[in-house]
Amino acid sequence: MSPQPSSFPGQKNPPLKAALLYSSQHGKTRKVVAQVVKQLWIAPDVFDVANGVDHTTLAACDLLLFFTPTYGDEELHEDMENFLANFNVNLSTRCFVICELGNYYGYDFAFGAMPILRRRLLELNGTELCTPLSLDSLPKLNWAHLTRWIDHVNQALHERF
Amino acid sequence: MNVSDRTILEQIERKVGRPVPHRWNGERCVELDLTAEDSLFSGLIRRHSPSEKDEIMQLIGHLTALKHLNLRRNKLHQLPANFENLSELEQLNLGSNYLGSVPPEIRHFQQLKYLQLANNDITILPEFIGSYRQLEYLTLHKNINLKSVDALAPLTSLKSLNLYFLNLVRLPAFVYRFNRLVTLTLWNMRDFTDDLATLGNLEYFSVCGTPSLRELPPALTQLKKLRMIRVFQNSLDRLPGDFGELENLEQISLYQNQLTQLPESMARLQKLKKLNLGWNRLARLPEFIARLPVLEWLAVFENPLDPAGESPRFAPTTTVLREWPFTTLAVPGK
Repeated sequence: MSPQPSSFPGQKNPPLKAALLYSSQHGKTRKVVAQVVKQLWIAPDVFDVANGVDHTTLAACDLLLFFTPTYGDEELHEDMENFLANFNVNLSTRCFVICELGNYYGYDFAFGAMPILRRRLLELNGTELCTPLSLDSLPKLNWAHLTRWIDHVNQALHERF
Repeated sequence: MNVSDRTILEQIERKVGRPVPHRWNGERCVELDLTAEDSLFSGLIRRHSPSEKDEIMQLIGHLTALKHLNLRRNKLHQLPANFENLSELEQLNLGSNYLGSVPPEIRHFQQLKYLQLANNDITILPEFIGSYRQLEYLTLHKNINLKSVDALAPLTSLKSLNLYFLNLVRLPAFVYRFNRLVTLTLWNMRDFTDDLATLGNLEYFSVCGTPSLRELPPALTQLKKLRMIRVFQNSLDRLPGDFGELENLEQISLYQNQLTQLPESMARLQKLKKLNLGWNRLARLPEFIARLPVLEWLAVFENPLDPAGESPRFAPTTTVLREWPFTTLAVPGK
């Protein structure tokens, strides 16, 4: 059972600063993000990367959460790719979390856009807070799986901060 | 342009900004690969400007002895006119390049055996594609506005055809004559005829994403060479009683259907290594699954399995996934 947001004991002084960055073509990722924001113990600032994001704002964050669909041939959504290609913030004291959508549950090997994001964030010296999530969003979203993962993220937040 | 292939390759690498994988036959460059695992977005010129891409592609157009060329994931949008000089090509990968059409520059590439056109924006197939009589491998998947593949009818040498995520609905009748096919990948397709049985060389068959597909075509169980079937995200509520006659099957994905039971004949699948039954309506697992001798991987997540019911005892060598992991990506330190 997830504790309620008010009971999150990991508030730093000043409080944990977090940003959630996403890209969405048809709205599925946006829907997922809305659900995540409701269930997370923290309240991140939310940015659609298509609208541009000030990198100095991100550089001030303790935690970055990324949400992106997989498109084409295991590629990032175009907006997220454009963001990532120019993202050059040193993340050495920061953590990140990744969720990708559009990934068929059937391969027992890594598949999808997530490895691209993850690789870049590790290159920038970021620390992965917890296990990332691959969600198969076609033809229906696996909300229960998402909720289990948000619990997992909350637990990791509690342990780390 | 009377310049050696070595000079041209030097110019290409200078413009790409890094070494480009290639192979020589004497003084001629016969293979070139504009992708690399160590490049973040894979395509080596994906993030170059349109004019830089054009200059590089113009140079490639002078490597007239090329037999293999991989341009995958480079967002090229188009090919230069001198690309038509590369008529010795046997393998050409143009996947993920935002091409709005099959480039006319490849019209006379009669040596092609492998052509990858997937993940583009192709809406119409030109007639010349049917002239590639040596073509054995063709991928067209994820050209989501492509509604007809009739131009492929003469390609009877095909061994592999990928039509995943196209808007076709029915398999064109001529495909049943492609009796050399070893791999056939389809999406959102129904109303198969008994002629499916003529594809007796098929080893890999996929038909996914068809909400109206409630049962597999009866002729499927005549395809005795099948080693892999992927029929996920349909609405299958039963499998053919004689499904177990497909004794060469090594992998089956039935993920996200509406199956309530499995036919006992599946006990005969003695070569089965992977079985994905995730997200069905199975209340119990039949005993025979635990007796499949080489089963390595079984997924049963998101089924209403009775927790009080008897569960078969699986060998320690079988990985049983009762809950799908958050990721299959290796996570360091986890």
